[in-house]
Amino acid sequence: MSETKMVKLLIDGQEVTVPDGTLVVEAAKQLGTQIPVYCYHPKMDPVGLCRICLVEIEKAPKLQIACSTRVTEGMVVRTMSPKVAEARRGVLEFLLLNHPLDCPICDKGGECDLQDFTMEYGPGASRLTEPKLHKPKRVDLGPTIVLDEERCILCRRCTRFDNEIAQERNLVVVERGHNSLIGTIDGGDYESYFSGNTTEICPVGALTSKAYRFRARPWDLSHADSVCTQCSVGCNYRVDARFGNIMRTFTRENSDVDGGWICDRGRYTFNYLYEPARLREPLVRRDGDLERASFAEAVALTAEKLGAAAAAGRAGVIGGGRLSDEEAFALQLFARKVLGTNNIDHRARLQRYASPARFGARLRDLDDADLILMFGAITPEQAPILDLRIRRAVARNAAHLVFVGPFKPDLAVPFHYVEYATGAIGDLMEALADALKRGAQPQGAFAIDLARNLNEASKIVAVHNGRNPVAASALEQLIETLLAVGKRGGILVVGSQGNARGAEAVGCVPNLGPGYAPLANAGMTTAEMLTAAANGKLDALFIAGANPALTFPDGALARKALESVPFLAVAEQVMTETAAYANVVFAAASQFEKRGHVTNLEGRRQAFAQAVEAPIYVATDAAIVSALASALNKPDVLDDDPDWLFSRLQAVEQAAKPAEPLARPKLDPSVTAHGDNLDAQRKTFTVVPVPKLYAGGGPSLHDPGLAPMRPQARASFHEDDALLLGIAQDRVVTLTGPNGSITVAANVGTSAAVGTVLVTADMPEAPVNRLLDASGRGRVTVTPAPLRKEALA
Amino acid sequence: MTPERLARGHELVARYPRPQSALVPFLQYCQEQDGYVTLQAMRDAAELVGITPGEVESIASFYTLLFKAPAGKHIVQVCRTLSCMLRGAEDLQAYIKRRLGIGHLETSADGQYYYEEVECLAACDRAPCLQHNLEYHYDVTPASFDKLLDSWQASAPAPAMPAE
Repeated sequence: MSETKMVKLLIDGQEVTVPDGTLVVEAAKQLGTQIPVYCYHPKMDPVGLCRICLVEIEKAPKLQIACSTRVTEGMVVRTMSPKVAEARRGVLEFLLLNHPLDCPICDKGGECDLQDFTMEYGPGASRLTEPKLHKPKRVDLGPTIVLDEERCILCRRCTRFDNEIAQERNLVVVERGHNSLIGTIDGGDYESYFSGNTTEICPVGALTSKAYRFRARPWDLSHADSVCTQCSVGCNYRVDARFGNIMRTFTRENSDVDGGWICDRGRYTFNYLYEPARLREPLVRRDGDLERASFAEAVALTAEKLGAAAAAGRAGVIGGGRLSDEEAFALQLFARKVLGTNNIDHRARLQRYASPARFGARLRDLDDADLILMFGAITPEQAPILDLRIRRAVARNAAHLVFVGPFKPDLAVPFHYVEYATGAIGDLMEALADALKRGAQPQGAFAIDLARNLNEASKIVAVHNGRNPVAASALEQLIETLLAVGKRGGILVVGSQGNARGAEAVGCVPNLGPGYAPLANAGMTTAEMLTAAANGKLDALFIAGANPALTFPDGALARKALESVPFLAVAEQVMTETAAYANVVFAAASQFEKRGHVTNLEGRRQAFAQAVEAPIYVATDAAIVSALASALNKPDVLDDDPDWLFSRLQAVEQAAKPAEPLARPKLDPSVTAHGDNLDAQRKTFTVVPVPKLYAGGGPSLHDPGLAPMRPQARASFHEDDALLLGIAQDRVVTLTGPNGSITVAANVGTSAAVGTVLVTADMPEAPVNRLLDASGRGRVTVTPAPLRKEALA
Repeated sequence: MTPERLARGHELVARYPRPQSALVPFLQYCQEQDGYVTLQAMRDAAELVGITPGEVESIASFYTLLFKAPAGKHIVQVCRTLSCMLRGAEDLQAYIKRRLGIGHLETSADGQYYYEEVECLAACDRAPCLQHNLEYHYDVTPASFDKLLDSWQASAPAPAMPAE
């Protein structure tokens, strides 16, 4: 590393030493001196548009903008001189010239930089006697935002965010000049997974969030420092509530994790709490129907049935990825110490492991990686804020991005696409690692290409989806080979649920205890439990925060199991496809209604505070299992207090002896790690489930804020296959597998590989898991629906 | 994109060090073909020069001679900036609007005339100034406008913004 040159300068008579090239505005921050800014944002390139940051610099002939001027040795800066004060007054007078001053009804009022700086530096009155310029006041900018053009001061933070940070460049300034407006092409929707951030960085009340518009004043809000659990990145955010109801969420920068941004799914998923679908009290099945019941009744019934099943060794527990670390720990204690079984598994999806056994990377490692390998993980859909880091690395640092997977995803930055059937990735990686180790040329054009990339790169980060154990081992072997020759690098595994890694780490898998400690007697995996239940070999299942009916790859098996098991208890926040089969449904607290820790995909354990109180008959998952433990005469095993659980968890983890490398969670016998051949005749098509950010069956299905963004279930074909099948865009098709069928509209393009059909995953109206087996494989025949007469005419 | 349009686009892109420099010439070409800059033309342009459709709109909407909707054959653009306004542009604007029976940014029902008030035409020394298609007319008064109108009606106008 070269030594950074430091320079010394004077700001308002105070000496400060900063690295050469620092902006004056940032140097002033070091001294606690505030220079007002509007267009400047520390995460984005300075543009010098708004002029509010004018300061006096000795020897400069006129005032300079602090946001774009870099420090030099011996510079003398004055930020509070009369000249500066006059300039600020002038700039503010212009900014306010046409501003509507509707602060009393403005969402930003109370936390508005225009309001605050006007109070501090502005003129008390306007000299304008002409009518103000009027602009559109409620522009519907898309599913999440309403724009008030009159309040806008054209600082362009929002358009620059969309350009520099999101790399999407759809939000732009139109009608540049006297009538500049923020807009999109032809007045279309501003659609972005990151749109909500623009409402936050807007220094005035121009970009308003539809979810928050006119709902609260900032000074009426209580704040809780929380962590988002909508995906496994674990972005830090603040939850703002008014009178016990959540009004909005707000970024709370943790530069190692989220870089100060959150995605729209994270930002807007909370209004489901106030929907009728929210479970507010326990339900018990009586005469075939789920009816309201007391917590005591639900506990007594569940304890009786679960206890009896456990005594016969015929009970199982599924879940953990939606719970906090403390609760997941409590859940496995409940299974192991109360029910006396290792039949516990948090995995109810295709993901098989959530932690790399070796060479785990940090999110930060993406920033200076020069080669990023995405293996099957669709980061924009599964970990959007992680994807922002990739976008920046590619756009700003010219990192090379390679996607290896069964279809070509829609990514915001240029990438090299390598078509590879999911199962076959393992074979490829094995061959590659082997070739690199021997210094030999691997087989196949792509492998040669990739080998060259790997040779040229100095830091490599692989992002994997944790589905293919052969690929996982091969990746680790590959990284080991690279480290051995002096390169840097590591692996990130994107979790299937927000706390998948936490659940795995605290022992919600059949063969590992807390701290990845290997156990002598492994219990059953989710697939084994469901198979046993379907075959009448399990008497009771307890499911906490998992929805196998929708997400388990073999949906037919999951549904048969849930139907056949004599007793099923489910703890959930909203009614789900799985809870619909239950004998007892516990109303579980959301993450907003409890406190604890969650572990993100890089293994970082983060604390979150409670934001609001749960409705009175709603209990935390920890409270549910500890009540069950008491009812089963094991009150000492468990407590619902997060502090008690956390200190126990830490003690157990410290004492644990994990294997090195970490032992993998037990795999199902059905999992075959190697590739699948496509049907050369193309009579059948291989199904590839495709994740979508706003899909899902739980809270996201019921959240009114997400409803406008919900995707449509689609089947995408390669255009050559579409021609062969006689399918045009939007044609309705029925996909039929051995165990079921779904009917969806078709997409035609080049993103699907020939011989495959991409199906939107986790859509309750067209569950892709009707078409798959337990290892996530499926082949279907495709039948176009008959065209309706009007369509023919 | 039609093959002809694509070929023309490639030809324009090849002229400049950066593809994006071909954006405005390409839009001019599309406008000449279609009569105005269609939404499809903007999408085609984005694809051609490697930017987003939003960025094309941002640039296209800056130019008063790129039209986003069908405009009349005769494009009448009157300056509304300071010098012209001090020299009677306001009265002239009112007169022209009455005479043509259309307002700012409107096209007459017969498709003949399009009227717009624009920013400085850089002819302050001979204000008020009016632009008819690509031709400037100086020191315009309501009476001289009548004469201009008669002459326009007698002849077919040159295109407002020829591609080249």
